[in-house]
Amino acid sequence: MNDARAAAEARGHFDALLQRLRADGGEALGYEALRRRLIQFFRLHVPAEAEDLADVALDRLARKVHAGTEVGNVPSYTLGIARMVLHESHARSARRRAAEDDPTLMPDADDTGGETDAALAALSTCLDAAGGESRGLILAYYGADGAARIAERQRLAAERGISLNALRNRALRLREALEECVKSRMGWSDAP
Amino acid sequence: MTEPTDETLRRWLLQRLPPHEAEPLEQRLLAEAELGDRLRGAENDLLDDLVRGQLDDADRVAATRHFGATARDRLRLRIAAALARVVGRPRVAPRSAWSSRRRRITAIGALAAAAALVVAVIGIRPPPDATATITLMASQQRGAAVTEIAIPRGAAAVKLQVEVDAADVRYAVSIEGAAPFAARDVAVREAGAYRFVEVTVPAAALAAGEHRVRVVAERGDREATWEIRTRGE
Repeated sequence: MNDARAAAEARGHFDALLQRLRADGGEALGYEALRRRLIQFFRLHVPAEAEDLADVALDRLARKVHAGTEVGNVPSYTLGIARMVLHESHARSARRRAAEDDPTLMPDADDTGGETDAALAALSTCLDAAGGESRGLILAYYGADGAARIAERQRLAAERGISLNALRNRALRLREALEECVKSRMGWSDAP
Repeated sequence: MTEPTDETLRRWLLQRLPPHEAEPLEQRLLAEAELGDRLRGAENDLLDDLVRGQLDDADRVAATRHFGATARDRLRLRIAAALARVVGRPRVAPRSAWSSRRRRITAIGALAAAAALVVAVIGIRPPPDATATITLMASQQRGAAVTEIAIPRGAAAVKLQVEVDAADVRYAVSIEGAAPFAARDVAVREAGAYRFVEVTVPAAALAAGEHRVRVVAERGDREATWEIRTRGE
């Protein structure tokens, strides 16, 4: 099959999947949300391959949908595919383990003694750029550990008049933004 | 349906949840955004506890394996270590390029003096550190000594420096053990007359026990092996 034809076919599969996801209406699971959840699923089992395996699972789901397979409950059906993909991945790993090096644990050749300090400086800059409220929330939310962690988060939620869930989601967003900011300032790429 | 506790989520992340508990959660993970958010939060807390030395040995090994698997998570690990310092949980000692160099030279001197010992304790840098550094000298190769190495309990990763003799080739470094590690195409660094290769190894690859460290030149026939015994400290 030539490249153009393969691309057109893949596009057809993808469109069929999007259409199926939209068909659920209301609280429909979007493609990106489904992919994110699949990545989380695979991270629990094989973190090093999570994104690739999520894409494999989505590709298989899209092919099934395109072929007219009846997919009643999308999350359940997707989980079935994901478990099969995971099983295949485990089998591949077992075959590979004895013969190959682990490709995910590579030397950190760029790491130098000064990098920790540079990361700290970048983090401080990013925290300042986030603004007083966000900075305060990040440091307080992620600052406590052990038994104090829960009590501190309850205090923070009460202080802001929001639920613990809302507080957690705010802290998650802030942390992700902070991590992106530090990576950008350090010139770090997380490409494999 | 009963909500999983934070402890359950942590056990799930560490792959300790039995199938009859994990499978319903996996089902929900695909169907509910809320559980995914909680899991991300639990993952951040686990990451923070790892770099702050708050985990016991078994959890530290499992968490290091989890967060050492992808480039993205290894960067998150570094950022978490910096955050720990900002919030006043400095399990990672401040370190400058100069102090790193001084430490290396100090380690080399100490190792040269200890080369005749059957068991050497080397390269330890208290306090517990997320990136402790250990050094293996040529004089400690297999057959000459069993090298005993203490790994700080808080360490998430270990910088392993291994002396090599040639500067004009790249090396493959591998560690045999329960959690094997391998790195290829490692460039040689120099500190004075000392030539070495350096790799960052997840602490899990150097968990307490016997390990064989092998360094092989990717051109020519140079190969060296060290037998080491690690323990938590």
